[in-house]
Amino acid sequence: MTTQADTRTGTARGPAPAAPPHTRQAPDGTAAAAARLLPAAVPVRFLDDDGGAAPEAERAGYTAPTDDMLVEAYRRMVVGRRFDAQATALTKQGRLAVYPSSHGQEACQIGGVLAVRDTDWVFPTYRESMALVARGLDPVEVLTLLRGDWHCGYDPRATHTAPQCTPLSTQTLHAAGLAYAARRRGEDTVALTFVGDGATSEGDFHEALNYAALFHAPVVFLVQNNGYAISVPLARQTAAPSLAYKGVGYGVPSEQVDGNDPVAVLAVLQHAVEHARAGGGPYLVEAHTYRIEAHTNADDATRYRDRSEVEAWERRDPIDRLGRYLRDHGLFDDETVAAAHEEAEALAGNLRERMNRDPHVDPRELFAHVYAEPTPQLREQLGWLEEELAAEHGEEQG
Amino acid sequence: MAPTTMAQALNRALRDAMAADESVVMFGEDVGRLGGVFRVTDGIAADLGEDRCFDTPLAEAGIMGFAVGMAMNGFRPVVEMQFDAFAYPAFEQITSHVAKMRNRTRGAVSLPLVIRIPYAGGIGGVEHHCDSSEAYYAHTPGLKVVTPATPADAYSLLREAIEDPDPVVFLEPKKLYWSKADLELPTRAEPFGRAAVRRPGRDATLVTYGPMVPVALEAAQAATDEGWDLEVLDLRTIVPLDDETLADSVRRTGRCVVVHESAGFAGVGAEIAARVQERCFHSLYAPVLRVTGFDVPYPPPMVEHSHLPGVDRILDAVARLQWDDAPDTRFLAGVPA
Amino acid sequence: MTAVDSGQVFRLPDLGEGLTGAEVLEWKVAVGDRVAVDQVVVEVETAKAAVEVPCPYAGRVVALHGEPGEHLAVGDPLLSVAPTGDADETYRREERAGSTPSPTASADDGSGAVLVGYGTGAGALRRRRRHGAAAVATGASAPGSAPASAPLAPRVISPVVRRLLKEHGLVLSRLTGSGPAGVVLRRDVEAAAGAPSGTESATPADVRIPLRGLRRTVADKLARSRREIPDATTWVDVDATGLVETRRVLQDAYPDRRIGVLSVLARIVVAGLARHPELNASVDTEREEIVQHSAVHLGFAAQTDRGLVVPVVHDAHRMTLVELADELARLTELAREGRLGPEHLTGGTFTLNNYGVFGVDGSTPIINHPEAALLGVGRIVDKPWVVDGALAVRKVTQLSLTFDHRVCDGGVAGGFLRYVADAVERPVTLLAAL
Repeated sequence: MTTQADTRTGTARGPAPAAPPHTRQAPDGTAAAAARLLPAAVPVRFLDDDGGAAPEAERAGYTAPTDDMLVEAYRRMVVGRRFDAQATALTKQGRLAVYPSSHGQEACQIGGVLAVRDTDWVFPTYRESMALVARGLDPVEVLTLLRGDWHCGYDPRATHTAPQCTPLSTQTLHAAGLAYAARRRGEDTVALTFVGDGATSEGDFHEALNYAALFHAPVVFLVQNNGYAISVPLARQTAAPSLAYKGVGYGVPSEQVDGNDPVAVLAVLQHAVEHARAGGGPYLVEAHTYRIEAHTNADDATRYRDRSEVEAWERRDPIDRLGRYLRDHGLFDDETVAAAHEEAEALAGNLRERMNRDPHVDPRELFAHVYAEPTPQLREQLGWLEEELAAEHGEEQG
Repeated sequence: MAPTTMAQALNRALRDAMAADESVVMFGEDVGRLGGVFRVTDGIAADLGEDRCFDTPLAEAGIMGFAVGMAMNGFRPVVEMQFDAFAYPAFEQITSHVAKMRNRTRGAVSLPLVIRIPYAGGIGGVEHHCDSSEAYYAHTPGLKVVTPATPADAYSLLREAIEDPDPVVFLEPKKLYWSKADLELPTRAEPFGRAAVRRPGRDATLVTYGPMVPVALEAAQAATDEGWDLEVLDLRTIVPLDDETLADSVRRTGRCVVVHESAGFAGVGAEIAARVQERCFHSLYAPVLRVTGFDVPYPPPMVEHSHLPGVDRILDAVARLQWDDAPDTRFLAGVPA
Repeated sequence: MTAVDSGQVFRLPDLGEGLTGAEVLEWKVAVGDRVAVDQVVVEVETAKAAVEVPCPYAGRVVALHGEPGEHLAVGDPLLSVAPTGDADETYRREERAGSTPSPTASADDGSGAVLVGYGTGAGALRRRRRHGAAAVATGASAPGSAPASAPLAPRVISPVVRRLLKEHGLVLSRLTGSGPAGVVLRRDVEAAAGAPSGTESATPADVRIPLRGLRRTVADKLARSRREIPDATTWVDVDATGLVETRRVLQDAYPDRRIGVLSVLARIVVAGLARHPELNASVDTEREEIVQHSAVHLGFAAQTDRGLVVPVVHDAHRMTLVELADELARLTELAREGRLGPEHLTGGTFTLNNYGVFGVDGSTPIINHPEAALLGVGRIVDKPWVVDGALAVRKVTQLSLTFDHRVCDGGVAGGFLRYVADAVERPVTLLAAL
C-alpha cells in the first residue's frame, strides 16, 4: 500500500516537466510505472454505510476535507436533492420535455463542483443539473436545455461551465484541449469533466485520456459510475476490474472511491485537482454510486432492475451518511439542518414560480447564431420566415 | 514574383498566419517533423517551434475534440485531417460540436478553427485516399466550406479562414498541390462568398470548384473549336455561396452546366442546379445539367479516369443545352435515347 | 400554453410513457385531505408501468375525478383542490395558470412525451392563411379549356419560349409542337405568331392583351353561348313609373334595408318564371333533353374592376322581396371586394342583366350558358308616354328577353315578357297571386 500512499499525500510528483509528446521518453513498460497509476484495491471510504467512521486503511492515505467544506457540502446536497425532486415533478407536470435525475448521486454532483474553483472549468454531461445548480448557476438557465427553449441557457464563459453535452464523452476531449490551452497560457486552471459509466466505452473517452496524458493537460476525469447506461448494467459495459483501471493504459493515475461517501469523494477529488493544478497532469477518479431514479422520467426502470437493488442503495444514502458524520463530530445541529431545508424549499418554490411562466421564444433567433455574421442565404431565409410570422400575426389581429 | 506551387502557397499562408497571431497553432498527424505527407507544413515546426506546430497521436476524433477545447480557451487551432476519408472518425465532433457551438451558446462561445483536408482524386490513389466529402460539410449549418483551385486562392483563402471567427472546413484539392503559378506573396484575392469568373463567356456557364476548375477551363478552350464561348465560374467557397454572381452569369448566358468530381446524387451540384433553376428559370434556354462522378464508391486507380469528369464528358453535356431549337432528349419520354 | 379552470382542477398530464391516457390505480389521498405542492396524489397505470403523479396545487381535496379502474385521457380532470388559505398555499395562486399541463391534441393521437422530448402531441400546428388565397373562380366551370382527357402537360422546349407564347397571346393547347415527342419549339411559336425571328417591325407595335384568367373564362363562355344556343330576342318598352314608385314605398317601409329597383325586378322575374317554367331550363345536348329546373337560382350581372361577373342568388324562388334585396346587397358587396367564391358564381338558372346602368336602352344580351334565357333591363328615363289618352312624362324603360328557342316558342317567351312588363307597370297586380 505504501507505493500508493506516496502518491496521495501532497504533490509527490513535483512541478510538471514542460513535456509535449515529442520530448517524452518512450514508454519502458516497467511494472513500477504501472503500479503508481493503479487505483486502491477497494474503493476509498471514510464513512461506513451508516455514516460512522470506516476503518483507517480504507482511507488509503487521503486527507479529509475541512469541516467547513463538509458542512457546506451537506447544505448543497440537501438543496440539490430538493432541486432534483422539483425538476422531476415539473417534468411530470409537462413543464420540462425530459429530466435525467441525479437523485442518489449527490456526493458526486456536489463533490465535483466543490473540489474546483469558480475559475476552473466544469464539463458536464446531461445529468449534471444538480451539480450545475450547486456550482451557482441559475436553476432556470440550467434547465433551459431540458425545457427546450434553447440548447443552452447559461453563458459558458461567464460561468466557466461548458454547455451540457448530450453526445457521450465528446466533452472529455474538449476538457483536455481547454486544460492544455490553459497550461500553455500559464494559468493554473483545472478542467473537471464528468463522464458516465456507459460513456467510458465511447472512443472519445479513450482519445481524451490519451491526449490528456500525452499533453500533460490538467484535467480531472470524474467517472460517475451509477451502475447503468439507461438499462445496460456495468457488467455488460466492461470486462475491466473496474472503470478506474482504464487510466493505467494511458498513463493516467487513477483512483476509485465510494461515490456515496461525500467525505471520501471530496478527499479524493481534492487530491486529484491539486495534482493536476500543480502540473502533475490528468487524473482519473471513478466514483461508485447509483442512479436511484430511472434514466429519465420517460424510462421504466422496473423492466431491468429489482426494487431490492434500489433499496439497498437507498440505505447508503449520501446525505444521511454525511449528516450522521457531522452530528458525531459536533459540526451541526438541528438548526443547521433546518436552515438547509429552508433554503432548499425556497429554491424549489422560486423555481416552480419561474418555470410556470412560458419562456419567450423567437424563431428569428434561429438565424442569429449560425455564423458570426449571417450569410446572404440566411438573411434571405430570415426574410421568408418573417413574412410567415407576419401573416400569422396579421391573422391573429384581423 | 516567383513560380509557386499550391502546396508552397499553403505553407507560406500558415507561416504568415502564425507569425501574425500567436494564438494560431497547427497540429495533426505527421505535420510536425515530417512536414505533412504532402509537405504542406514543411519546416514549420523546425522554424516556428514544436509548440506551434506539433504531431498528435493517431486519433482524428481526438484531434478535433482537442481543438474544440483549445478554441474554447483562446487558441486558433488549424488542424489537419490527413486524407478526406480519414476525417470520418472526427465527423461527430465536427457536426455535433464544431458546427453547433456558437448556436448552442447563443454566440457566447465561438470556435475560430480551421480543418484542413486534402481531398478529391486524380492522383491514382488507392482506396479511401480520393474521396470528396464536401457535401456532408456543406449540408451542416454552422460550418464554412472553402476550396481553392489556384495557388493565389490557396494562400488568400487559407489566411482568411484562419482569421475567420467561424469554423472553416478547408478542402485542398490534392491533385493541384503541384500546380504552379507566378505569385507575389502575401496576396489577397476576393473574400469568402465571392465566386471568380475564371473565363468570361457568352453562350453557357460552367459552374465548378476545386479540382475540376482546370478541367473546366480546358473544356472551355476545346469548346471554341465547336463554336461555343463558355464562361467558367469557380465558386471558391461553397458555404457561403455566391448566389449573386451565379445568377448574374446564368441570366446572361441562359445555359448552365455544373461540374464536380464527387458523386452526383445529393451532391453540391444538386444544390447549385436547384438554386439556378429557382432563381433564373425564366432566363433558361435549357435544363441545368450536371457533370459529376458516378454514384459509386471512388474507383480503384486503374478505373479512375472513366469515373472522373473530363473534357469530353463536359462537352457532351454542353452539346445537350438545346442549341438551335433542339430539345435535350436524354430524359424525354417516348424518344429513343 | 395551458388551460386552467378557475376551480383549481388538476388534469392528467402527458406522462411520457408514450400514451394518451392512463387508468387510475390507486388514490393516495381522499376527499377532504390536505395536500401539499408536488405531493403524490394518485398512482395511474400506463401501458408500460405504474406512475405516481404529483399535484401542483396545495389545499384541500374537494373531488376525485375517477374511480380506481377507470380510464382517463390526457387532459381529463384528475382531482380538484380548494385553497385552504394557508400561508404555504397562497404563493401557489399565481402559478395556477402555468402549472397545469395542456390538454393538447395528443388526447386523440400522438406519442406523448418520449425519452428525449415532449413527443408528437405538443402544440398542434395552426394553419395560417396563405398568400393569394383565391377569391374568384377562374375556371372552375370554364368551358372551352383543355380537354379533360389530356394526361400530360404540354411540353415546351424552354421557359424562355414558354414566355414567348404568352407574349404572343397564343394558347399552348392549340399549338402543335414539331419537336421530338411533340415538344413545342421556338420556331413553332414564331410560326404561329406570324413573325419570323429576328426581324424588327418598322411600324409601331399593336397593343396585345393576353386573354387570361377571368377575361379568358368569360370570353370562352360568351363564345360558346353564341355558338351553341339558337337565341332569339323579344323586347318591349314599359312605363316603369309604377315600379319606381313601388320601390320607393318599399324602401320607406324598410329603411334599414337596401331595396333597389333590381330587387323588385328580381321578385317579378321569379314570379314570372313560376308561371313560365320553360324559361328556367337548360338544354342537355348529351342526353338530348330539356331540363326544367325545380329551383330558381337567379344570377344578376355585375360589373367589377376585374370584369363581368354574375353572382347567383340561390333558391330565389323561396325568398321574399326583402330577402332577395338583402341577398343582392350582400353579393354586390362581395363582388366589389373581389371576394366572390366559386359557390357564388355557379349554378344559375336564369340571369337578370341591368345594363341600364350604362345609360343604354336596348341590347341583344348573350345568354349565360347553360341557361336558357336572360332578361335585360335598360335605363329608366323620362320619356313622353300616353296615359289615359293624353301625353305625359313617364319613367320608361325597355325590357329585352333573349331566350334559347329550343326550350320554348315565341308565345311562351312573349307571355313571360308581357307578364313582367305588366308587373313593372302595375306592381300592385302581383297581389292577386299572393
